[in-house]
Amino acid sequence: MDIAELNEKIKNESAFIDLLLGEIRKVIVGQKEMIERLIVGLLGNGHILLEGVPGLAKTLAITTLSSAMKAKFQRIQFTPDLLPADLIGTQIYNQKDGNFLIKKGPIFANFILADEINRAPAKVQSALLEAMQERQITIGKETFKLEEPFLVLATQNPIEQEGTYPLPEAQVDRFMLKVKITYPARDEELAIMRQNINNTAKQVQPVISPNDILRGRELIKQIYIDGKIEKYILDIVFASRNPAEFGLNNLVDMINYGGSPRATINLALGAKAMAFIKRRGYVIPEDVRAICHDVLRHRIAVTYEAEAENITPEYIINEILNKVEVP
Amino acid sequence: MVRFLLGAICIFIVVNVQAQTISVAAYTDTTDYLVGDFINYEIEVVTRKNIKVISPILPNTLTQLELITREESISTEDEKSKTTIYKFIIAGYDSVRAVIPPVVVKYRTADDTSFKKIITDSVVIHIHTVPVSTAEEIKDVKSPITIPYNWKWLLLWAAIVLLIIVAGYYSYKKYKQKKSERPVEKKIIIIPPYVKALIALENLESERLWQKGFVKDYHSRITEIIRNYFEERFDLPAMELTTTETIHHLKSIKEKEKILDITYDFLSNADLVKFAKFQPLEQVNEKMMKQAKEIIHSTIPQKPVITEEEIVNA
Repeated sequence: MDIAELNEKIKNESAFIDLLLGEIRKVIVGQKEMIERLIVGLLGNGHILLEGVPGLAKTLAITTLSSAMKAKFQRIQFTPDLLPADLIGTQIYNQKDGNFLIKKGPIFANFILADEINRAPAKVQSALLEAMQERQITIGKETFKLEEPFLVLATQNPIEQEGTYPLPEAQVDRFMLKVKITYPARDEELAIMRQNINNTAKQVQPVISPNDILRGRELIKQIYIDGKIEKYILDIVFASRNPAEFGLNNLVDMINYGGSPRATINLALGAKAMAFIKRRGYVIPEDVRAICHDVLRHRIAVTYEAEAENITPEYIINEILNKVEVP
Repeated sequence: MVRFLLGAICIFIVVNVQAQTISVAAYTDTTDYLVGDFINYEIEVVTRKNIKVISPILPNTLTQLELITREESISTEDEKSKTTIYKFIIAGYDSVRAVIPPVVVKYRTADDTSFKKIITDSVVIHIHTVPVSTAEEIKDVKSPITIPYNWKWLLLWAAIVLLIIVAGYYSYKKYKQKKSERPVEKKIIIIPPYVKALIALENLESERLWQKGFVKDYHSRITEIIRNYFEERFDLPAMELTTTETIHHLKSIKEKEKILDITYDFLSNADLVKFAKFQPLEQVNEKMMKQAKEIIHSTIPQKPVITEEEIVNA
């Protein structure tokens, strides 16, 4: 397809993004980046790990998103005594006819908010992460496909807290993005305060259907990504693995391991989704840079020495972006 | 000979006072001395390990003799006892039979606070004058002895002097050589960023890239030249910045009014060609070159620091 034609098509087909954003902004004040990343996850068919203090409208954002899409939403509070069956469902014996009935768990929804995922033991975490990866659940002998779109939004407590089971690196890697949420700006907080005191929050109406998202995903596949952009993505990921090759000798002793091939895939996917949100039929370096921190921050592990010096993955990503030449 | 043999014999007297507790002995190295000879007088105290001894002092009754110095005491220990030797050097200047009187040694045991005493025996010594023979002839004072030349020493000194001269000569030679080798400081001509950029644009134009069909390469190169120019001219990391970021950074620069819009247009057009397979019209390609030159000309510093000749040479 000609790029101009594709560009025109994307411009027309991505119009629902504005509708969706408009509807979400009726309820959510600020948090533009979080909402944008939610849509990137949705369009990129990935899942999101959220990091931020309580009360920053994480739950409200995802419930609003599901309401605006007329999709099913479930919130699961992860606790130390949670069992995999509490999540995926189980078989119940029916005394009347002597058969086993399948009782589906809360994971059978379009949007899942897995609150405090690291409070649950590893077996529950892996049950969820398996569902995220396979997009299907097996209860007994029966396998159920999860309904699309399926987006898991997991929140994590700081691992220093007692009674938490930190997610293994391999499992964290399965999240497409790790989004950091910060406090709203002063004027945003004023609007939040007024909205809540006066109860002026508007009712969210379903403006798009899950099919719009599925169609958007198909279009994203067609978005043009130039060889120069692909090289730029590879340079960024490889710089996180072999910083010395990119003249980042100061990072050599700071990085334990860099981005995985999943990072490369998700960086390209995320950049395409960003281009779609910006209603473009092609990816530009801005798209890569916009999503880079969210894709890489949970995929770069710093060394003990770096930790001792308060060096964060954020710092490493900034150094990489400041060093790798933009095409 | 007899005197020599007598000198080899040591006299010592041991006094046992409290059995197995302490014993003292006083002695000299010989009994016959010449006037002015040093007399080595020693007091040896053998005690049990738990006994503390106060260093003995020679009595004032030492009238015919003179105490020269008192040396460091020497202590040795075995499993049961401790032996301490107190040394004194005495001299006598008259021909006399002298007596070193008994010396009081004070001591106490570890469990006792009061001091006890033990006394050494006196030591008798004889001090003689030098025997002078009156029968022999009186001789004159001997004349100074001439020391013969020590050729070995002379040779050694000559060698040292020669070595110093040779080392000095070579050091001087090396210093002169270094001085002559010192590189002449080259004059570094700093070419201003705008000159470099204009030359690069001229070169690009002469390559006729877009005319040959390499439109994407042309747009990549022309933006690279301008981004490099921004890096050097405004100290902006433009090579690592996207179009939006470059514009954002330019906003904080004084000359921004002149170049902000034109730069945005220039970079955005190039992005379309580079990343969106956009096939620009010929006029757009030409416009890119004009815009690039305009960006540079609008931001040339007020006082150029280079001459036309230098530009040509560069």
